[in-house]
Parts: sequence; C-alpha cells; structure tokens
Amino acid sequence: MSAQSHGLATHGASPTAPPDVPKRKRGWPVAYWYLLPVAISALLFTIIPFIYTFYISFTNYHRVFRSREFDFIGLDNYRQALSSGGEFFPVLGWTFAFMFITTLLNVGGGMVLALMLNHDRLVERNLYRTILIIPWALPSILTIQVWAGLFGLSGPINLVLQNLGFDRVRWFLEEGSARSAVLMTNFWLSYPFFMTVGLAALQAIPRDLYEVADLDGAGTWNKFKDITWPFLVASVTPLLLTQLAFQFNNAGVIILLTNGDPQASPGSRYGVTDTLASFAYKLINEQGQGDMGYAAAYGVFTFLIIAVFIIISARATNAFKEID
Amino acid sequence: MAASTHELGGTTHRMAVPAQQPLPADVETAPAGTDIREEPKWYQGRRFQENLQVWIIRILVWAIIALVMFPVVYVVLTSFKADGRSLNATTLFPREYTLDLYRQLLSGQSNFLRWVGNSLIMGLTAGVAQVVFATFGGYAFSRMRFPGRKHGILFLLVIQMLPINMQVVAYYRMLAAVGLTNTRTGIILILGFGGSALAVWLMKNFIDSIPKDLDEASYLDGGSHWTTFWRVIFPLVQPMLVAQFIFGFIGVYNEYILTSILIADDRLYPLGVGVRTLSTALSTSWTLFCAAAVLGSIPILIIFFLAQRFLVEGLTRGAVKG
Repeated sequence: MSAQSHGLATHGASPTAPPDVPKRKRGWPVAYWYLLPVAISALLFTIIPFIYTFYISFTNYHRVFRSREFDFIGLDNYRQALSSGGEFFPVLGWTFAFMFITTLLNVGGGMVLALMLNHDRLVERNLYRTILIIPWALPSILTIQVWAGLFGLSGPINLVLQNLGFDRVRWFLEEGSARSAVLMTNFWLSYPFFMTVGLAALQAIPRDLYEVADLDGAGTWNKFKDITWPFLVASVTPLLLTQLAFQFNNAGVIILLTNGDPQASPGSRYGVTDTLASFAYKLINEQGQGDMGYAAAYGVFTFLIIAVFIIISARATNAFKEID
Repeated sequence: MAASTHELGGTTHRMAVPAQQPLPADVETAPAGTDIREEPKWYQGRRFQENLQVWIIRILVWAIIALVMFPVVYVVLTSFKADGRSLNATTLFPREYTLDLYRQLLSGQSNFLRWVGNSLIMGLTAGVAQVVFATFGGYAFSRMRFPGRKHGILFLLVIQMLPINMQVVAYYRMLAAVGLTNTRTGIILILGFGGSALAVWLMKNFIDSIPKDLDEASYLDGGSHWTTFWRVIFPLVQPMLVAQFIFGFIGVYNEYILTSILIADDRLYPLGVGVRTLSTALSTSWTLFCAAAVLGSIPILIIFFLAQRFLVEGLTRGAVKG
C-alpha cells in the first residue's frame, strides 16, 4: 500500500519527465486548440460579464428590463452599502454565520451518520445508506419548495407539532425560527454527500489495521482515535473549502425557502435570512426595486471577499499548490 | 475505479501507519500468551457490547430515516389527494385518493409537459457542452505544458468561486444585444456554455490520476496528442464524462436565480421554475405542485441512482487531488 502510493506520488515528476520534454516543447501551441472552447466560454460568460458588472456598480442603472440610460455616479453605491443605515454589514454577518454553521452541521452530521453506518455488525448498512442518500438524489429546486410548504404556518410540520401537544412555530415570521428552518433544510439537502464520502473512506480502511490494533490490546477509543478518525478527516478535509465557498453563494435555498424573510425591521429592504447573494437577487428581481447598480456593488463585494478567502485558505492549507 | 480507492487509501494510509508500526513485534508473542486464557470471557463481553451498540445504532438510524423521509412520504401521498387542494389541511395525510392531479398535469391543460420539454432541451444541451469543454480543457491542463498554464489554473480556481448570479445585469445586457433575452437559447448559453471552470478543474484532477506511462506508450507508438487523447485518455475518463454530463444537466435543472430573472414567459420556464407558480404560499394548487414535484423528481432520482458511483467518484476524486 505505501509502496504503491509512493509510486503514485513520483510518477508525475521524475521518471516520465525526460522523454516527455521534447514532445511538449514541440507541441505546446497545440494546447491552445484544446483550450479554445474553455477560453471562449470564460471570456464571454465570465470575464466580460465580470468587467461589465464592475462598471455597472459605478452607475445608477435601474430596472433591468426597461431603462437604457444611466449615469456614472462614482462610489455612491458603495458608500450607500457601507453607510451606517446600509444593509451590507448585517447581511454580511448572517452570510458568514450561515456559511460556517451550515458547513459544520452538514459535514459533522454526514460524518456521524457515516460512523454509525460503518458499524461492523450493521449488516443491512447498504439499505440504510440508499434510503439516507435520497435527499441528494432529488432535485433541490423542487425539494426546497416542498420544505417551504412544510414550514407553512398551517403546514404539515406545525400540524405534527400540534398533534404532539406543542405550540405552532411561526417558522418564517421570527428571526430564530426562520434561520433554523434555513439551516435544517440545508442540512437535509447536504448531509448525504458527506455521509457518502465519509462512509466510502471508512469502508476503504484496511481491516488488518483493526486486527493488528486488537492484538495490541487497543481499546475502542484508541482504535477510533488512531485509525478511524484520521481516515475520516482526510476524506472530508479537501472538500471543506469548496463547501464553504458554495454555501457562501448559496442563494437558491434562501430565495426559494424564506425569500430572505422575515424583514429585519419594518420597511427595511433586507430580511434576517438574507445572505449577500440572496439580497442581491432581491435588489434585482423584486417588484419596485431593480436597483442594478447597487446590486452590482454587492457582486463586487462578494467577489472581493471570496478572493481574499481563497488566497488565505490556499496559503494556510497549501491545497492549491501546483506540484508539477 | 480501483485507482481512486488506492489513492484515497494511499494518502490517508501514510498518516495511520505510525500507530501500526510498533505492532509487528508483538504479533507473534501476544496471541499465544494472552488469547487462550482470556478469550471466552472477553469474547462474550464483547459480543454483548456489540449487540447493544448495533441495536442502539439501528434504532437511531430508523428515527433519522423517519425524519428524513417525512417530506418525501408526505409529498407522494399528497400528490394523490382528492379532498382539498390547499396547503392548509386538518389531517396530515389525505382521506381520499385520486389520480386526477396527475391526469391534469399530463393532459396538456397545464404547462407541465411544456416545462418538462424545456428542461430536457436546456439540460441535455448544457450537459453535452460541459462534457466537451471539460474534457478538452482538462486534458490540456493535465497533460500539456504551455505558457500561461499555471496562471490559467489559478484563474480557473478563482472564477469557479465567482457567483454567477451576481452578474445578472451583464448577462441581461449581453443577451439583449444579440436578441436572446427571454429565450431558452440564452439560458443554455449562460448555464451550459459558461461556468465550465469547475468542470475543467475536476476533469484535470481526474486525468492527473491516470498514470502517464500509458501516454508514453502511445507516444512511443508514434501517437500525437490527439490520437493519445482518443486512444488512452478518452476511454479512461468515461466515468467522469458521465458525471460531468449529469452535473451539467442537473445544474440547469436546479437553477432558479438566473432563469427566473432572464425568462419572463412562463411557457419557456424549465420545470423547477415553472412549478414555483404552484408552490407559493398563496397558491391554491399545493396538491398539484406535489404531483408535479413527484413527476419532476422521478427521472432525476433514477439517473442519480444509476450513475451514483460516477457522481461520487467524480466529485471526490477531483477534489482529493486538489
């Protein structure tokens, strides 16, 4: 096993490099032909729109479908966002809280389930796994809408709570319950992926490691700490960064579930479950809003935050070092 | 397939080895001395303990399954509901059952079949586009050396994190310039032909895990990059091609934000956006939404379970190398 991984680690670098070099040098312009589709796509659908968004963020462009004329207003959109009455900081706070809490819940919950299903004597493991994976297999655009209905004031969840003798919960009308509803729904959507990854890693642990540990008299806790846990963590860690970035931008679940509601205070434009991404959507799409320049400023903020986030985590983890 | 588990095991194995190292010396002495005397009592205790553990786990898992599956069971039963169409009901499950809601959806008096068709057109095109972009781009980044490669990869990483929905204004203006607003083509262009950075990145990592010796053999036979790509790489990346196609398809199927802004005509909506008109709190068609959700979920569910292996491998193997 270790010899094999050693081989895997080196074959990319030294043994193959010498015969490969002349070929590469001769053929490098060919690479651009392979990259042409991606390059065109990146230019048209990422770079140009990004520059244009940046430009729009300095204008008062309003209402996406009607007006064609707008003026350059400098940094006004940014000033408005960062001003004391602005929406940026409160929304940013919940965006970060949401990103970290939901990632922690989803990854942690998935790992706990993986550990439970991994028990040696649980012979019907695959049946449970197949059932528990179903939320992932269903299209989220539909299941989020289902959850929005389930949490309705007179919806099924409150019906169950009433029948069990509890009070109805005003799910989407109060800050704490609305935020819990978002986290619960997102957990339901995301835990199966981490459960699957974790279980695959646990099942790949060589049995003889445990047998040897048994012979050595290692207790359950020590086997878990020294064998199971390192394998589990190693399988999930590389996925954390992507998961955090995904959740940071995950506006779909919020728009379809709560639409950012309830309002932070009467008359405010943002709700307590709004993240930067969902708030920008509302600025663009909601009736009477269509404040495109202001929304674009939020796009730029989001970009800057993500860029900083990537750089810091790339530095800290070395995850994105190109080795070859 | 095999290479992936090796790789996963390989990296983690190295971490676990130290725990194992002191053991080989004991292996020969320990069983002879201790096991024979202590085995029966110790064995019984362990057996009991394990039974207890496994039953606690079983009961917990049953409880979790009940909670997790509640929405699914509820929606399926509600989709057959005959008494009352709104979300607010006095009983959790219907008292009378009917197929009327399904008949209504499939009869053509609703837009449902149109939405299904739209989803298929947009999803299939986007899936194919993503596969082509990812395969060629990933191959170049993985196997070729050219000026700009390193920065190209970093660039890909950054733009894959960029929220596509932050750029709606720009997309709208671009589509308007070529007369493609409020069309399926516009959505296909943006969602199918754009946003391929993540797909390229995953494919690059997947190809990285294919041993280069195979390429070398093909080059020694006089093969070019092009023939090597088709003879060596293409057959080996097929699990990933399946995964990318499905990611592309489901990505469009699940997209709400851009589609709901860029398409105004409800006959052009894909399924997920279309049924939103039925599911909102004020709607009186909640049961009809449930039937639509069931019909709209079944194909995805089937595709998912058929291709599950590929999807999990595509996501994890791509990321593990990252």
